[in-house]
Amino acid sequence: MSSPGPLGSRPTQILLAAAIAAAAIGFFVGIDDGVPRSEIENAFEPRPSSRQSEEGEDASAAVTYEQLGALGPAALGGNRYTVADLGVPEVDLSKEVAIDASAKPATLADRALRRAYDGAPPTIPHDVDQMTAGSCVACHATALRVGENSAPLIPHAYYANCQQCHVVESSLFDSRPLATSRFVGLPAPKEGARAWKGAPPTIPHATWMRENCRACHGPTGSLGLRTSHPGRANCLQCHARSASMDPYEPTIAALLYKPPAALLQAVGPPRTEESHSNDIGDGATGTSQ
Amino acid sequence: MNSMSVDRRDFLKGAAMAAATAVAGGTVGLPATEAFGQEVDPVSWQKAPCRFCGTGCHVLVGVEKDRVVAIAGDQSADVNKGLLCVKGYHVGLILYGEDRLRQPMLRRGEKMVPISWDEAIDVIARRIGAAPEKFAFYGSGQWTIPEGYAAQKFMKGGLGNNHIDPNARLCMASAVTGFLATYGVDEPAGCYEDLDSCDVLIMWGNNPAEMHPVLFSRVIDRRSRGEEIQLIDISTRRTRTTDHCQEFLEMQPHGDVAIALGIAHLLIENETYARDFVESYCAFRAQGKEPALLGEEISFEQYKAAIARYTPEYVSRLSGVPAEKIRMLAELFGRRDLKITSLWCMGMNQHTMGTAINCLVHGVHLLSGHFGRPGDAPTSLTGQPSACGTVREVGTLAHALPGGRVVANEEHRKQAEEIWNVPEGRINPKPGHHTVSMWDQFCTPGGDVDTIWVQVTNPGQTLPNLNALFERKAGMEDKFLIVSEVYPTATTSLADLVLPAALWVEKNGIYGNSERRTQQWFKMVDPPGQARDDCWMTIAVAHRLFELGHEGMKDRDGRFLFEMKDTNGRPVPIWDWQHYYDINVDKQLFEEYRRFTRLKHKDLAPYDEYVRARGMRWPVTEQADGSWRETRFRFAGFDDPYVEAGREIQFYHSTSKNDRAQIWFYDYEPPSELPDQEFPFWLTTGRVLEHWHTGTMTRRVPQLDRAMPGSYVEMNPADAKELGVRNGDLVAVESRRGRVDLPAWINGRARPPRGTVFVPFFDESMLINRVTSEAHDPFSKQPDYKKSAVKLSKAQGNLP
Repeated sequence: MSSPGPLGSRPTQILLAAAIAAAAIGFFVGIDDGVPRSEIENAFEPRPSSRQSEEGEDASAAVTYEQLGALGPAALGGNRYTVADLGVPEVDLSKEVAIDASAKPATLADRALRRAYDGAPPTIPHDVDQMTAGSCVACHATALRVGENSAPLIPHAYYANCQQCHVVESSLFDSRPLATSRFVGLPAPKEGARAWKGAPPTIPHATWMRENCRACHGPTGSLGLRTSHPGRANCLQCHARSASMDPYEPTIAALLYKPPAALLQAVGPPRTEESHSNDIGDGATGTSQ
Repeated sequence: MNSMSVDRRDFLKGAAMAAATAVAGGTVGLPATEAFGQEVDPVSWQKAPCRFCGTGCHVLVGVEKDRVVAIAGDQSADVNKGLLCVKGYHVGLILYGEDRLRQPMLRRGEKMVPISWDEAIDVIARRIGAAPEKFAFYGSGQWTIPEGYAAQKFMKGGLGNNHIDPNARLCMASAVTGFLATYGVDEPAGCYEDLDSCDVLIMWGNNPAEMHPVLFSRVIDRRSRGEEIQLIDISTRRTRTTDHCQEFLEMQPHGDVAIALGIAHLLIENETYARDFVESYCAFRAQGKEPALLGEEISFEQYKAAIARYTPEYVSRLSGVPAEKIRMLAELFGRRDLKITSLWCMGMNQHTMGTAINCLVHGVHLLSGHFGRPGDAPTSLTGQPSACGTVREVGTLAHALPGGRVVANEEHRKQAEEIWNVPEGRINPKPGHHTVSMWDQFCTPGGDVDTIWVQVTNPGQTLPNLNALFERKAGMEDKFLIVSEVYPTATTSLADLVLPAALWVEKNGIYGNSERRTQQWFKMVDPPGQARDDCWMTIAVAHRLFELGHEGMKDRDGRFLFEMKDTNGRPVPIWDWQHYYDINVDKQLFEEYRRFTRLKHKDLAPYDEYVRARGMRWPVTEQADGSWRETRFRFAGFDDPYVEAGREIQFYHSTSKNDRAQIWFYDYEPPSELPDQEFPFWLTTGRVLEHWHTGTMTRRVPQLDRAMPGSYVEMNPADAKELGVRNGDLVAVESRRGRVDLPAWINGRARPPRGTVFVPFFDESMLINRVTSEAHDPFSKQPDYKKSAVKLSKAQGNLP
């Protein structure tokens, strides 16, 4: 960690980050259309989330930021959270974490609902600002915590045009029947192979665009996918990539893609102590210069 | 087929070979879920260019059990370096829409009834045979190179009929005329590497953040690497692109013409133009009394005098852009230490002054010397995957022949007749009907055209003024519309014969992208039902005509026009679908087509070289060691092998025959239609990120459909307020030509200024092209979809 930056001490920065994130997105997304309201409320209510999962906090229905404005903090995760619950997660990396395998099937099912196939860019389960990518970074660069949930970290190098690949799951204009498709996507792997019981599993998926292992497997990752040992930084030391599955070395160019300094200042300092040598997506959480 | 595919077992045997195979064979193994010792179905991965826009990204296509199951960005591809856009990531899903066409269908009265392929081919052959001169072929920049080449040869070399034109006429014809009038030869001199090294990027009426996202990311991701780059957006509305730009110049429609003139004026006025560059490599041009594409030579003094009135203040009045912004642009262009790249696409091409504005922007770059160094380039982008490869290079246009030739040139006709081995005089010297005129004739009782065969495009949605140019056909007894398609569309709804087509990796193909890159792929899965390759359809009809005794289907020696032999020299009956893939028809057509490409120095390498590569940019020339070298920067001595040794720049196809490019003067003219009291709003149309053109494919992808399920009219909040319209309220958008009702989206995906509305054209249930105008550029014949005068009113009823 560096000494406090121009924006003050770490807690201040976290608060600031949370406030900026909420404010920025709220401003852009919930912006009034400037036209007087009629007695009929908006005819274009967002469609209810299609990904209802009975267990798993991760699958709670998304709310629009418009609703957030009307309902206050209660809208965030059903009456449980206040602004104080927003923040960058504090994690004790030295602690072993108990693996909760029971949550994995629900997590995988939830992931599958947001992807056409394993490896496809996930769709966005909440409203977005149509015009700018800046608000994505506000939460997803730091895994902003909302109560017990965190915004998924960006698993790949920082690409500035987020909505080039990630699109929303519902829009203002979705009153019509949806397209039906006979496409059956490649399923996600269930687990990596082990040479013997207790051996470190190999990586059962491509690592291209998923270079930051912590995004899914770190302390803020999805339940059931988190590692028991978040303090070990060099993942690939023990977990082998598969040449057959992963023919590419991460490119050097991608290593250099990091969010512009201005954006990072807005979202606060990095969450972890040092950048990881094999962890090129670390750029997504910033560097500690 | 699938000889290039490599399954998991091969990889388990030789994982170390993976990288080598990737390079040598154009494929990589990237199996899916894997657990050692566990039986899993093999997934094979092969390269293919993306099916959508002209960027030409490469994807890796994961195939399992004859079905596409996954897509990955191809890291070995120069164009996209592993990144895709949301359409690209979901391109595999376009094959699997519920309502794929699977059977030929013939109209009998009100009903479409299934018929056999044999019957369908017979119907077409007899229809053409009855009046070959009234037949027209309407093709596409999505035709593969062999498909377009076969159609071209069938029409011009077989039927002696030049009524073949592509949808690309609606898309980049003005870019072509701009290049021809300026350099004497078509297609950009620069390449995407200009985006890696420019200091300033100017986007002229262009929204690449949505329409060419991978290229836009290539620029803005430089900032993430700590590089400085200045982005300038000249546009009629704020878009996602604007969000990344330091400068936004909001212009009036047609303001681009004035702005380009204003920059040129200041360069001369301030003497900051590149005197050395201009004196060495440029000449001046303007229209004479009789307008002609190549115009007449003028002196520098004449140019200077003509342009003198385009002062920043005058330009500001014409364009709506503040005078100091014009000065800012001129100052940037006046600095040779900066590298400046201009990008444009539909904004400059769909323009009644399309040729003029293309010439003027080239002119600004030439006058300022911002040309020929990496990062200094005027570059037009294309919207279709093979607008360059199939339309511009193969020449599937009413006036053109392959390799930059034209039907009007006797020498060119002879060369084509020689390569095609058809009797001298077979090719008709008179250009055929261009797109607007073809459809006008088709929709006119007794017109020149009574049968049109549409392949790989959807004119029922994309033609301007649809009521007049398409929908008028309904119920006309003497007209016959044949449509090869993959899904039901606005076009098939009026078709008399519908032919189910194979799509993308269901067939072999070759595309040519915006940067002169030729890209090959192999068939990976079978098409559904009875769907077949478009190229096969053309050859099968040609052969049926041959059987019926049509002389045009014979070459000089009386043999079938498309006779092909296997490696043992035995003719293969490729017109019989059972035998179509006995040989690689694509390869044979491509090798024949290659012979056309040397004349204009658009040399292509042998087919097999493209199998190995992730595309190569022409001219591709053979080296002393037998290898093939691509060219990144044309006309530049350091890279282009056709520039004479020792010369820095050489425009070796100069229209003034002295190795000089032309700096054009055109006077500003207003758009063909201006808002007035009755129709007070500007309507501009265009695309959105999620959908590709008419949405035929992308609207069948659930992820894309959910994100952007229907069309809308994008409005300024103040206009909405005045109209009493809220988000989602239905608004009638009406022009002199037609009306369509759409839900309002206030601001929405972009921010239009007051008095301007935007409507995307992807939604066939809300056809905005009933409203647009067919007014077009005099040289390129490309219509202006960006400027229609409309009135708005609150509408009643429900969404369609």
